[in-house]
Amino acid sequence: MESHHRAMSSGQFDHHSQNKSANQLDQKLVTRVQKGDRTAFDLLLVKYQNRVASIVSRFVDTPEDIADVTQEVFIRAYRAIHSFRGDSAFYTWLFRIAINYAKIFLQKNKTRKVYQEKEYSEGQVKDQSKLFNLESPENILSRPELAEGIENALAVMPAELSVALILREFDALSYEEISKVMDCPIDSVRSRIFRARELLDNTIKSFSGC
Amino acid sequence: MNERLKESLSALLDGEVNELELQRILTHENRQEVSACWQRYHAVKEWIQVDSSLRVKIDIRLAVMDVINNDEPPHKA
Repeated sequence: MESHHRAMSSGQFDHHSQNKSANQLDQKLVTRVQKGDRTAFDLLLVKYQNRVASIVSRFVDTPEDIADVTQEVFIRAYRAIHSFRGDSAFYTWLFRIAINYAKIFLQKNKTRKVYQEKEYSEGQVKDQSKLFNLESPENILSRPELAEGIENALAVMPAELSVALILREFDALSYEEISKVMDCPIDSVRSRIFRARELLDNTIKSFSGC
Repeated sequence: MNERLKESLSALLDGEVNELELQRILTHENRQEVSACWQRYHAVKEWIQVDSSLRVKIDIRLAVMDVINNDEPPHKA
């Protein structure tokens, strides 16, 4: 199974190299935090706050809630720092805390995002497709209307899909790392990313008339 | 192009396919369809990676450090 998912693109090796050196730095900082160095945690906080907030934003809507949840994620991470043993990358551990706490927050506040996937894919975008001619994807994506359409598609798709895609595209995590963060099999990661791309691809096709 | 092949194409974009899947993609009878899908997947990937509005910018540093500085140092379990 492992060879099934072996990386083949050169781009990923670059990301792996970057992630590896980032991991080494993170591990040094975590060790300092575990010894009581709060400044080291400050560095990790600044490094990861936007990335954690981007993940959290897939679950909660308002800027206030995103800030509150992200803040609580870092406080929980700090208080649990001794449970991090370095078996995986620090960000994998941190992102997992973020997803778990975002879900807890949703349960407590009953403010789960309302997904309107069907309505969105069959309504809004289809109507707008009448405005556009067939063009190359690159040209189409320069249109602000489509950019907005893709943002909307990301906003309304199930969080498990958009989070998997964001962890891949923003954070260059491998499928194996994403499976650890999201606590699911690698095949599920692969499927989620594909389904997310398909929803976005449908948006492009609607606009281009493909 | 069936769903299975499109899923392989998506995984290829991430460098997460094996040799067999790669062969299946490269030998598919409808190259034009494969190429068009590949092109769209790439366009979306590039768009997501450069679009700053999808990246949340936040500054919670002071708020978090304020809590942490008033906390006891974390203890080993």
